[in-house]
Amino acid sequence: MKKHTLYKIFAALLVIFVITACSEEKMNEIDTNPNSPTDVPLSLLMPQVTIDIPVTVSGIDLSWYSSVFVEHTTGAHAQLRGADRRTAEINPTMGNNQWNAFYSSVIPDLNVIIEKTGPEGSEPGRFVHSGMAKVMKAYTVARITDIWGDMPYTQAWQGSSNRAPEYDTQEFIYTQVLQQLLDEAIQDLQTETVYNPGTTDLIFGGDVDRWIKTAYGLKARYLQRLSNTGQYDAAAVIAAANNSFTNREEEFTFRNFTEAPTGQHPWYQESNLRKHHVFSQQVYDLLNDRNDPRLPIWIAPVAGTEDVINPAQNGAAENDQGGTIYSKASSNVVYPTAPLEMMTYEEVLFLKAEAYLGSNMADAKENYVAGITSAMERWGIEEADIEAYLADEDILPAGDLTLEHIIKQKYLAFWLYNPVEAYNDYRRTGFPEMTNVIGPPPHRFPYPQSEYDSNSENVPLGPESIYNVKLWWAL
Amino acid sequence: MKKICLIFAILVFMGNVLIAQERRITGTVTDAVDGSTMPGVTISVRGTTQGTITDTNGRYEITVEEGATLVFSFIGMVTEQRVVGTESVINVSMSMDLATLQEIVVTAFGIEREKKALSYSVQEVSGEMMSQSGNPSMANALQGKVAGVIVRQSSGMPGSSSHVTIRGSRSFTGNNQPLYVVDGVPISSGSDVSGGVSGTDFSSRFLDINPESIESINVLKGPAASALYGMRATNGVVIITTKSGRGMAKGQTRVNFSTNYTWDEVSRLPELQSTYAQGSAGALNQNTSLSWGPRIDTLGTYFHRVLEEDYDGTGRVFDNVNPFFQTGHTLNATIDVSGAGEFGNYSVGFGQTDQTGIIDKTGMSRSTARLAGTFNITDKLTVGGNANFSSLNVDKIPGGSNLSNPLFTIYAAPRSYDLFGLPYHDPNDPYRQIHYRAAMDNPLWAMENSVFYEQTQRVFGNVNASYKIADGININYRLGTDYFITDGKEVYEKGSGFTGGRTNPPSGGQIFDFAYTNLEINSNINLTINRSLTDDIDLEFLLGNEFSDTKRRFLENTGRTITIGGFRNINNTGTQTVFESSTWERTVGFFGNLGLSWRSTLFLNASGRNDIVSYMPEGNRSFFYPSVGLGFVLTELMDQDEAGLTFAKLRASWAQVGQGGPLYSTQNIFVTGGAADVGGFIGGQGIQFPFQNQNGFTLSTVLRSPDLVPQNTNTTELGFDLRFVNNRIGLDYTYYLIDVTDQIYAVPIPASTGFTSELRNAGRLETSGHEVVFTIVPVLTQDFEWNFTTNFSSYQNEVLELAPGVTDIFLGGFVQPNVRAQANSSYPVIFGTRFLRDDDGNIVNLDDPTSAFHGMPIADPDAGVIGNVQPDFEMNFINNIRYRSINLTFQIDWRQGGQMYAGNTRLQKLYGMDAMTEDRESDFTAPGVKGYLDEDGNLVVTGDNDIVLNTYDQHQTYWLDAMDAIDESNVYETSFVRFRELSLSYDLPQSVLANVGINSASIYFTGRNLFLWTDYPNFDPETSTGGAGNFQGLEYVALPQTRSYGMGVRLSF
Repeated sequence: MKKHTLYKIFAALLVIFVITACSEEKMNEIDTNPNSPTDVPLSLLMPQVTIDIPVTVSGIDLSWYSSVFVEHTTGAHAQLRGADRRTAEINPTMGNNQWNAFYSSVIPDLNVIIEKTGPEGSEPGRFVHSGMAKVMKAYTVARITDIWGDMPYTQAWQGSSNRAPEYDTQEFIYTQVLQQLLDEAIQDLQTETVYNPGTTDLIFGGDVDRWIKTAYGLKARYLQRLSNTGQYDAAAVIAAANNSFTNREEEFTFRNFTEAPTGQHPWYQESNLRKHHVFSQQVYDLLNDRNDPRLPIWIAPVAGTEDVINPAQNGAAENDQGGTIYSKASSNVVYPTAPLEMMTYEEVLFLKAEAYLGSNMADAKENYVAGITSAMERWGIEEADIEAYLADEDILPAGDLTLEHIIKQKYLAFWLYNPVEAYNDYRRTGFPEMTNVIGPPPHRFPYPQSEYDSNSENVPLGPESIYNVKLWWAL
Repeated sequence: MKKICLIFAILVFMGNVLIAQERRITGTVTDAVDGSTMPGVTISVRGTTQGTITDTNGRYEITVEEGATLVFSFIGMVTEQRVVGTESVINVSMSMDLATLQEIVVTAFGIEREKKALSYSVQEVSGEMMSQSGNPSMANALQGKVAGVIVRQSSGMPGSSSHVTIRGSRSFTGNNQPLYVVDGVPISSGSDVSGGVSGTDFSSRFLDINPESIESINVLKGPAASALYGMRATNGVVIITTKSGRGMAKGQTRVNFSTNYTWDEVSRLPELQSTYAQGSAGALNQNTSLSWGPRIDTLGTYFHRVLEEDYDGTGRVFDNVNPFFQTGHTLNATIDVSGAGEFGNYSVGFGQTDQTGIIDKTGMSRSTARLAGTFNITDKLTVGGNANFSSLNVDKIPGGSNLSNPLFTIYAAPRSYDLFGLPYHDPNDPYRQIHYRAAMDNPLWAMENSVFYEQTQRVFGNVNASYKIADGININYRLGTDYFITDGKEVYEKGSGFTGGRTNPPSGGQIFDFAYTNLEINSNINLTINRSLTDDIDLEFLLGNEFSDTKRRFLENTGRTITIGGFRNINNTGTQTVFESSTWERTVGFFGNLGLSWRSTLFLNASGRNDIVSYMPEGNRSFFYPSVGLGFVLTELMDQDEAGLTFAKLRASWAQVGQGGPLYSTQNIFVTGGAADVGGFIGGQGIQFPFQNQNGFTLSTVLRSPDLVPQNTNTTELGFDLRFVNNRIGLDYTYYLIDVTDQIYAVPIPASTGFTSELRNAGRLETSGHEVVFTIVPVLTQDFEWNFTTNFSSYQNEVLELAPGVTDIFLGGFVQPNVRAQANSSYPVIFGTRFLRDDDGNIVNLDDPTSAFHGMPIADPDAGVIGNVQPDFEMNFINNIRYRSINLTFQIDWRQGGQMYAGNTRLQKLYGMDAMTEDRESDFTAPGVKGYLDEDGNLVVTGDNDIVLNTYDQHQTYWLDAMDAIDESNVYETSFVRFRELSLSYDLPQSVLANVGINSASIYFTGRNLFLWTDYPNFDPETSTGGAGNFQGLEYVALPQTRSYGMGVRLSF
């Protein structure tokens, strides 16, 4: 009898134990992820997106490949040497990771900010945050379309409800998306609010005026891009540019890199770890032929030598993995805390110069000269040297200024950290002429391998088309 | 039946009629094979309850009536019978029963069953087989011993990981390694961190088990065998039984001591060219990684950049490979004491393994201790326990594409560069390296300054109790735990190229400290009933519950920028980044098993298990898995020995088992952000938070789903087991078909969805295969015995479907080449740039005289599959030959087919170091046709290739640029025949030993990996950079394998 009772108690305890050990409540508790939150506040998202814009979007792979394509530098090692020599390194994997980062990290985070600050969101009324997010989204979307062309937009970012987003044309992005996003951004940024991202904005530290000026500057840049299309409106470019930067202090430049190994300028990290880029013959010649005072500041002698200057011809560089054959950009340019320019004051001036070109040569020249002056002053060039440079008829002609004059100066002003814009200008205007001995650069980057793998029905072009299908806005 | 009854009746009658005469019988029982005495033999008197056992000297004494029949029985031996006549001494010699030797097998939850009754294939490996070659790693010792089990050892470094699969893979990206169960309790066995293309290997946790402590291993290959273990057993189960003193005669105590010493050497080194110096295009360049320079014999005098003086390099060819390697040593010692008595049985053991690797500073040290015992408290209650402790230290070096991997330079250092003779750092600054190439570490500097180690302290074991409720009805309970901490340190010293520190003055440096803890609790209660239902039908019934709870915690601290060189504390770094991850998972399972047998002829088995798992979504956590099997012993219905057939069984089974997805896969999450470089240009350094005193989070790129269900594995297995000529020939064949549906994996989706992958159920993987175990005993005499076993296994692992619109998924590797699962291909495949081929499959060489690539292979603009990793088949030949006291065992493994990307050989070729690049002066025409791609990308073939490459530059361009751009040119077959193991032992004669109180003693010599025949170039085809991960088939500057010779002694007191 007693034994029987013991069995019963034991059995009952066992049943209770087992049932509580695997109840849904207990299992839910166990299955709660202790490592990663399912929601985070704006103050943790803002640092992420404001570091993504200068680094992920502006500072790494795309700019490195573009730099070699547009002959800002010459690739002397590994992938970039392959790209310079137009080998199979130019393939759908080269931009794969960047495309994925833009679509699956940068823009989703921006979308979360826009959503959170919206009327239905968890942190409504943060208009500065939402305005900033929209500026950064426009900047990122423009970068995608400028590099690849047509891109998914209206059907993008829908998760599992649309696993094969269709592509929108570049024309649609330029005419229906970018300006609208920037206009909304400006409206948000001009709305009164007590909320400011402050130090969580790693780019401007919450300076709303600079964001507004950046938005106008980008409007001008994207309007000017339409110069070859029927949609071009020079007056609109000038109007936007007039609301943009009035000096170099205000410009869209990231100045917060640190000396810490995980806080350094990406170009510095690249030069330190892998050394793919060397000084190109193209840039050397453009500077040297006109006695450009920037040359001695920008170029470094071949490592281990006192004064041997040896730029590399694009398409013909030897493998210089050891960094002992060619000259590189100097440590005046590439250093851990170097500023990374995304849109400069002089770019705004050059945009205005170009927009005035068809209507008002005097204003065109005035902005052109101001652009050159600002670009020189950036490097501490003395006024006398600037004047001497401008005295050169090839730089500042007595007669009419041409598009080539402007774009060449812009090209040099974009050196070293904004090669993508130089590559855009080259494809839009054909200036400056490329010198790569193997052939001109591709018109676009090949669509990424991941799109061919998992969205093959919608990718508009095959990888072989990069040398024969131009972008919609291209020359 | 009638006849037997009659005889029995007559005997009884006679016994009563005759006046019973009592006799005192004595005698000795000996082993027919070696004549040794046999203690513990049971002697019973037929028809009575009378009996005795032999003492420690094999002697017995019994008083019986004349005419009685004495039955001598001992497990594993043929039962002998003697009718008592007038003699007073009856000596019996017993011989091994080949039929019963393997009859009892351990199945799920430690349940012992007659092998005959099983409806699925299991294979046993004895502890002796595991320890005979002195291999310190249990998994590596298992290699080739069991049909269907494939062990891929990452390298021959002490403590290196291994990837073990049984019958191929079940999961695209999840765990494919079997469950390991030690004495009834599942333990953690994988690596804490699985391998990638760069960095250090992490040891697999089965390394904590001393192979010498293993009594036996049973491999449950298919889900039908392992279904009772539920979701965790999809990949099969390796059941390890440790020595416990069980089965020993009461009163017996035995002390076993064994020790062995092994010399290890590098098994294979690359064949290098020895003609050309460092440089490019035939010109000397002292800074390049290339050896496309001038002939060394014409080098002349040049200004040496390191020595900073004029240097005559003519004819100076340096060996930069051999001096790097040394002879490794392994010392194993194990002692254990086992005994049995009325109280029960016990075993206590200690083991020590010390190993130094073939590369300086690598090594392993392992100490193990264990205690196991069973105590008979009453005749109904038995309690037992089992505790294992191990302490493991592994010193290692980084492998793969790590700038600090010394082999990067060792294998590729130019022959004109005196790596071992030149200084490797500035005389005034130990952290300022001198090396011929930038970015990378000088191997001598790295060996002196870098430190990598891991150490694991582990306790696992269980307490158990068994209570006999009634005859044939038992209730069993077991509570087990597995607890370990692995911690370690990786120091890339200040100035290390890995951290970009080769600046002037030296900078960088990195210290990585980590600790992983794992705690698993396992509780198992079950009720077993063994009953005869009728005269013909026997029942085996099992009902139980298993509770398993695992908590893991990872803590990592990465310190960057070492402030003071040589001071290896993380406080001595400029910035520290911490990472923490904790996981908790629980499975509660209810299971039942029903076995019915009819006249020992027909066996039916059915099982069911219901699992409730924490890591599936709410409402979707409970799953039921059934299995059913049938075994039919044909020979029970035949007359014995008909046509030499001793035993014949047909078996068939079907089972369904699931496998869960990754933990925490049901809700979208935000993860710590940053802006790492993505294309590999800056080695993943990038920007990390905290940055400018801010922290950042980003939405995970993996889309998670609350609708997941477990993946489902359906297995059908058919087989037969035939034995002929009194069991001297055996043939066991199994066919299986494994169909896995609803795979849970990160399905790639276009990034334009906002995510790069989505965790969902999709895809189907099918494996079908054949296994044959053939055994034959060609010779069996008192003095000479020869056993020969052949294992054959072959399987096709095919991906039938991934997900709609998904053609392949990435498993590991580089941007290209990489390893993938691809729809309608075998699993996994190597993916990369291919040769451009014409419609007939000929390689197309460029026909364009204006191009530097004229006459060289063109890369196909579309990348594709360039190799299949799975071999066609594997065969193992194991011979065991005994002549009197000499035993010779050897194992030869043959793997046919399968391919691997030879990353190491690729570097050798492009650097111009491989012997293949030695001839740079002869005319050369690449095989294939010639042609070009027109503007629209269409191939135009212009004829058979007759373009002659005759300049030095063309040879260089061919290897360095043309061939190197084509990943396919570096894919090679991994077929091999390997002399895996050899063991020669001599048992010292009893006559000598008896005087010194030693029961048995043997000395032995071993060899592992003695010969290798393969077409795979330069390195060992079994090397893998993927370590214990699914990413197999890609080798990239992997650490080498070893060849070993050794000797040892076994003593038993």
